[in-house]
Amino acid sequence: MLKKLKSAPLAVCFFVFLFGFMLLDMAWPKREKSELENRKLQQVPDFSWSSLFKNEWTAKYGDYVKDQFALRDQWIDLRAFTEFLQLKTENNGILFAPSNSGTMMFTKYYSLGSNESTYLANANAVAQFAARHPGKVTFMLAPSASVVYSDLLPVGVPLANENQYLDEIFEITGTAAQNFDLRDTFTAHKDEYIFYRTDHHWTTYGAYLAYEDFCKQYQLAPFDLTAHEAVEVPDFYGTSYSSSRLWNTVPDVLTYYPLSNPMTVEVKGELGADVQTDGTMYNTAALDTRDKYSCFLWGNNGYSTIEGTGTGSILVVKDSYGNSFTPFLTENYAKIGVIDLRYWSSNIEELADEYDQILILHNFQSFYQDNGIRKLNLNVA
Amino acid sequence: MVFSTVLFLFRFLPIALGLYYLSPPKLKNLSLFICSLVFYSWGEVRFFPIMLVLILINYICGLCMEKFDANPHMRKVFLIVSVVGSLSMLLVFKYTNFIVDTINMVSGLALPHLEGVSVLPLGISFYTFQTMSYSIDVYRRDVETEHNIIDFGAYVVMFPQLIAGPIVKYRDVSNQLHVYKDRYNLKQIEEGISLFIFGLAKKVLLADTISALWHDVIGNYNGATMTSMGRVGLENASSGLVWLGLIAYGFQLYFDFSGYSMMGIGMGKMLGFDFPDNFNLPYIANSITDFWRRWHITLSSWFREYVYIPLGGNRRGIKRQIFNMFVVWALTGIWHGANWNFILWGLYYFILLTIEKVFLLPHLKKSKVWCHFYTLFFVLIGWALFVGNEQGVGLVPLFTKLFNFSGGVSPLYFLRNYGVLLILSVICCTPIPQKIWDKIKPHTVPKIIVLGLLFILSVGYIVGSSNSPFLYFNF
Repeated sequence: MLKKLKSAPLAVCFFVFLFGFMLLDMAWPKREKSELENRKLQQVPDFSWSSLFKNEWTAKYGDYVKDQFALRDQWIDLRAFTEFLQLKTENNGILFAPSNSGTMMFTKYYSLGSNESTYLANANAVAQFAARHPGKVTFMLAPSASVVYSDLLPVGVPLANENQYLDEIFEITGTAAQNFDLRDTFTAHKDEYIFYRTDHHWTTYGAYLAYEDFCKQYQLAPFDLTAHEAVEVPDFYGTSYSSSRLWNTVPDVLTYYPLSNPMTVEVKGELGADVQTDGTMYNTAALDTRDKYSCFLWGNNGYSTIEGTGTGSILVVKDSYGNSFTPFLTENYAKIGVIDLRYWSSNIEELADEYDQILILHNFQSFYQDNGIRKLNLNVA
Repeated sequence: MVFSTVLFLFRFLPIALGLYYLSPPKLKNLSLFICSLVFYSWGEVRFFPIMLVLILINYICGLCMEKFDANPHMRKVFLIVSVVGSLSMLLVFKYTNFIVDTINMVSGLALPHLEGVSVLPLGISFYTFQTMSYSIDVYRRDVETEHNIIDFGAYVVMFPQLIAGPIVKYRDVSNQLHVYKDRYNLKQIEEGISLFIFGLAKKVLLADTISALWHDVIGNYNGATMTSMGRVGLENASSGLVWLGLIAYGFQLYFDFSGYSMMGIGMGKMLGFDFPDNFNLPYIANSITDFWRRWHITLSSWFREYVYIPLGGNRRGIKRQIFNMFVVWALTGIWHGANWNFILWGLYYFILLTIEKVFLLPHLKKSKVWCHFYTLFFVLIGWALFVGNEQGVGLVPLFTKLFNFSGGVSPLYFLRNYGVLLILSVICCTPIPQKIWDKIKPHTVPKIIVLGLLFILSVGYIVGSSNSPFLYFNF
């Protein structure tokens, strides 16, 4: 028998690998979630005959094996590296653009997909909301990094025409709200570190530039960066890295200003039900994880309030771009409300009346995909 | 279950092979039968009884044809019962709603769709053809009736060829099914492993990756929703990009389908069966006639044997021959899917093949280069018909872009991004990889390294991508 097997080394190797890896995989520690993929992983599904007949059990079991596969992260890296060897300029929905400081990663989108008219509906919702609160509403929409750094994009890549969409949006919202089109500001500062290379968010400095514009318009004295301690957190591998897994990624540095203004999360969103905040604006525990950006305002929550050192009040209706932006407002307002419509399901009129000013702050990527923005006009005739 | 999943590679396959190898000779078919039923039922548990009924109908009809050996009338009755049994399943699951739609369209009625057949039973187009081949062969006395229902069941639902062929006739494997001892040998198993790994690599390293180019143009869809990557869109793309996309689609289709067939043949060898070849470098064909001798060989041979020749083949004059070709190609078209564009695609080949048969073939044989361009061009047009009803395509916009040259998004970026992959794809459509492999094969260490590398990369691609479902599911 042994002699026979010696004559078939390929068969021996194949079966040893096949069986060996199966056993290894079965013994491999199971994970609750994947840090890199930022999602919960499928656990062993409970068996029941009804779920079997509905094909649910088999499907979930397949997902379970796939999600918990031994060395999953390394296999994904292997694929990403092989794609790199094929000289591809993209991977898994992320476009690569070499820059002096490291490869910049942009979201690849050739068209608005199934959300073709959502951006218009959202712009109209903002205009309608602003018209109901005349003089109170400011609308700030951050462009995608690929708009600001269009010159770095691979030659001829047919990205969706975001400039045109932004023009259309601002034309609609401008009828009733004060617009902040950040394209000019960002283009003027494009040599600075305003977008993370490996994440879809703006950097704290990018947010600050937007904030500075805001202050200029309303004649507020901006938060003084030099007068405050800045904490720099290295080794930030953002969401674009998670998707693309480029092997030679240069990690980002996340900066935050550890202010002590008290914040209360009134309605939780992403924050786990059992997680308690420590009363500040920063979840410093998140800085030790991969998803460092979620340290700002403890991630996206339905409704939070922050005490500032200024005067008056402002309600920020935002996506995650607002999270690194809002702390600066503590300098200028006494009370800041932060609302994320994705985790808020009732009418906001009453809240809106509580505040002196309202800032609607989004970035284009969420603005064109998120139907939640229409909730601005929920149950309003 | 599909082959290119972790679940298949690192659960089902080792367990199924292990049980099969460890089973005592007499029980090997039983273990193969049971494992194959699990494989078949995994995605749609409620289709399990359908398979059992199909096996039973054909098994019993086979027995009856033997019992009424001396009664041609009864033999014919049981042949008809079994063929109607197989065909009606295919008809109900695959074609009912297409027929309803067509009737509604023609008559203006609003007949409702049949419920519960939105998902096809795995591989139904393949195994119904296999059961028919059995019954017809028994009727013609080309094979002995199978008396053991386990052996017969193992043939019908055998997992390596269940999903995507090759379409194995019962007589191709009946002898091996009854060899219980020493059914396989190590050399054959090793050959099977090589084929399996090459097939897997074709499917996940080439087909699934080159398909991204075409999907950049038409969009990726989850059901009816386009993913957030969006699409260039046929209307915005330049004609050059649409041609490039169509070429990528042609690569994908070939690597996908032939990769699956290779995996099937490879696993067949691991189990001790020699399935017939299904693809033989179709894109180097020098005529359409030649192309169809190289593409999905087992399907063509099935139609030739069970439709074309019984209709008279080429023995009843050229007019009758052309009619017979018409029938075969209309059926080939509709076999690929319940839609008019597939019928159109089949008839398109009927016309091309008729033209070649009547006068063109001798002229093609004289040329060395042009015949290849001619063949590839018409095959590509065929794929345009084939893909025409897919989400985000549409026959009219597609053909308008292909032939009414117009500008738009240029193919430049796509050539840049997919360049290496496109070159690899071209090479893998030629005999070059086989020639290189023939040089490597005799040397044990390089052979294992090449196969090991391909296998590991394939696993990386499977884990690293959300699996793309296999294209030929609906056929």
